[in-house]
Amino acid sequence: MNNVGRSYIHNGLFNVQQRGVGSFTTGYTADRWVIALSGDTVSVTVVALPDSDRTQIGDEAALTVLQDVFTGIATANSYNAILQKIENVRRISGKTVIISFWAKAISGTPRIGVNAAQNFGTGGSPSATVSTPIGATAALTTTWTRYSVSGAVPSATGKTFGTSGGDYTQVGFWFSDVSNISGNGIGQQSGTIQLWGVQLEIAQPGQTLPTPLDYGGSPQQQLAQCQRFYLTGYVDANQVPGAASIFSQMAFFPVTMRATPTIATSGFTSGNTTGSLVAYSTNVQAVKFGISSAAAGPANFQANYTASADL
Amino acid sequence: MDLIFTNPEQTTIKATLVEGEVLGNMQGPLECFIPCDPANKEYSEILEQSLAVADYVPPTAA
Repeated sequence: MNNVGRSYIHNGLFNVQQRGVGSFTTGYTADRWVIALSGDTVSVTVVALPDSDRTQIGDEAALTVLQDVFTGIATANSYNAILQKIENVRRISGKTVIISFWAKAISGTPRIGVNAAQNFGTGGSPSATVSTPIGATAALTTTWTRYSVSGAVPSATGKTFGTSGGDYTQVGFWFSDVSNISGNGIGQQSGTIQLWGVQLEIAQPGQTLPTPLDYGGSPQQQLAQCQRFYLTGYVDANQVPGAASIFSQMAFFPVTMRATPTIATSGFTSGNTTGSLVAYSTNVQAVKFGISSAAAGPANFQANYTASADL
Repeated sequence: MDLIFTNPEQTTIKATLVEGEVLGNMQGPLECFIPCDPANKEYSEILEQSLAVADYVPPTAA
């Protein structure tokens, strides 16, 4: 029954970790999952599960989980959460959703608040973000438990979308929220939480409970879903340019990306070059790197790169 | 934060972020190349914040 396509969440099993396993204190963590915080402190890692935890969950496909060690503070408007931004508001707007996940507390007895925030994109004068509370769990225990919350995501009819696109529905899992911004009354909390098996599905008429977990397909499919937003690659050029002339190398992406990505490089090495490596042109399918040769004759460069089209 | 076009066509911006600086999903210290695509998170922030981008400087002859 683990058929594919019901869940709108990517990397709900946290198996894809192109940025590594952390620890992360801000920004993106496991692919597609990003930290949001103000005032609070967090340390997010991706950790391997022991057999005993797999037995509790009842699914031997549970390999890695997202672990969040967080400290909520009492200062007004402080919060911390882990978010996933689901591309294109209209995929979910005007529908009732069921959001389910497995969770346990390593320390403390925190609750998890869940909300959905519709961001209408950038450019022009888009409508303001609409945040909708979906629900909150009971206090977590040290035993893995599958929780679910359900709620209606507002219609986008009548909203003004940004002229540059980039609209999304942001699903938030709130761990501390002292001023009750979006955490559904969880308040100020501290603790350590583990998450696995996150799913967001559109509720069918009469449906109140989640269906069995949709893994997101094969490992290749799970990776490709994430690579639409972020990917890592390697470029290697060996050419015979003239003296002091720019020679270049295309690197093609394994999937078409959401938008033209931002490129960063690391581990640069070269022979017979001068100056620095430049990503001269990029589109949603490829990037062209270039650098100037120092003298006539064989020249080369190598580098790892990342391409980010994250929301 | 230093921003400079990498080509005369002004289709890509080289951004240099120091420790603690953030632009879109990029966090310093980092050097990155941002396409002038409004759907790109980092470029949309450059537009929203009206950040100044220096003109392209051609490489000097060796």
